[in-house]
Amino acid sequence: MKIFIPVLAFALLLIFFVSRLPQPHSATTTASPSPISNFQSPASVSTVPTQLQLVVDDIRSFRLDDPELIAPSFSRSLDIPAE
Amino acid sequence: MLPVILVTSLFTLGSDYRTAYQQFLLAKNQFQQYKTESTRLAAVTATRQVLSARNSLWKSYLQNLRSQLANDTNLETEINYLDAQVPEFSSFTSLSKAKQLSKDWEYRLNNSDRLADAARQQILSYRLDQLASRLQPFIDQASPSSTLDLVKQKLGVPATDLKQRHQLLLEAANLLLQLP
Repeated sequence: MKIFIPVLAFALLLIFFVSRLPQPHSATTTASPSPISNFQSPASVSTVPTQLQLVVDDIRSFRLDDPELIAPSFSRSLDIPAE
Repeated sequence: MLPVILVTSLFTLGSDYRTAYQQFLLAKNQFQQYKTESTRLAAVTATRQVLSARNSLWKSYLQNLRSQLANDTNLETEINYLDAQVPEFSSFTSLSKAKQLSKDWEYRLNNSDRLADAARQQILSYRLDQLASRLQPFIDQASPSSTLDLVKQKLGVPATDLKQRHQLLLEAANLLLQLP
């Protein structure tokens, strides 16, 4: 009985450490679909706000006084001398 | 691409007009000071140049507006009128004729100004419509919420004032950014 207790303790410790060792992955496991594969990838998630942000930026940069549309300045009453 | 070329052309024509205007002021002053035939001829030449440069500048501006509109016959009429002035401005030989041509051109400019302003409003309104339509897919994809209702409400306001329309569009866009 005195010998049995240390042997049992050693066996329990051995089982504990063996169970902590990393498990080799089988080919089947690697190929199987991941539970998270049904979710959108981070890249596709970030695309949506980026596109919206582009539209928002365009709205922010919209100008009612667009220089392209401003009429050129010139004399509207040319003072031509009399002969 | 075409508006970029027209804007570049407008910039060059603006520079040409300013040079012609300075030459005109100089020639006018010399003619008024000396009243000789040579200074008169120089004044006629400088007046031809400034009237032609002003005509080209305004025509180019109207063409720039015209190129951004699907159809606008009013601007087309104005452009045709300015085209018809080209031979007139390059052929007069007296300052009195130049004065009459210039006055006629300036008188017509009031109407031309109104047409240009209407065209400008139309272009800006179209640009706002385009921006609003680019927001639509994000509204369609969004889940129902009170924020989304507010977005739809802001975009549904029947505003004719361009500044107010832009403001409402901006507010709607900022609200859309807050949606999850």
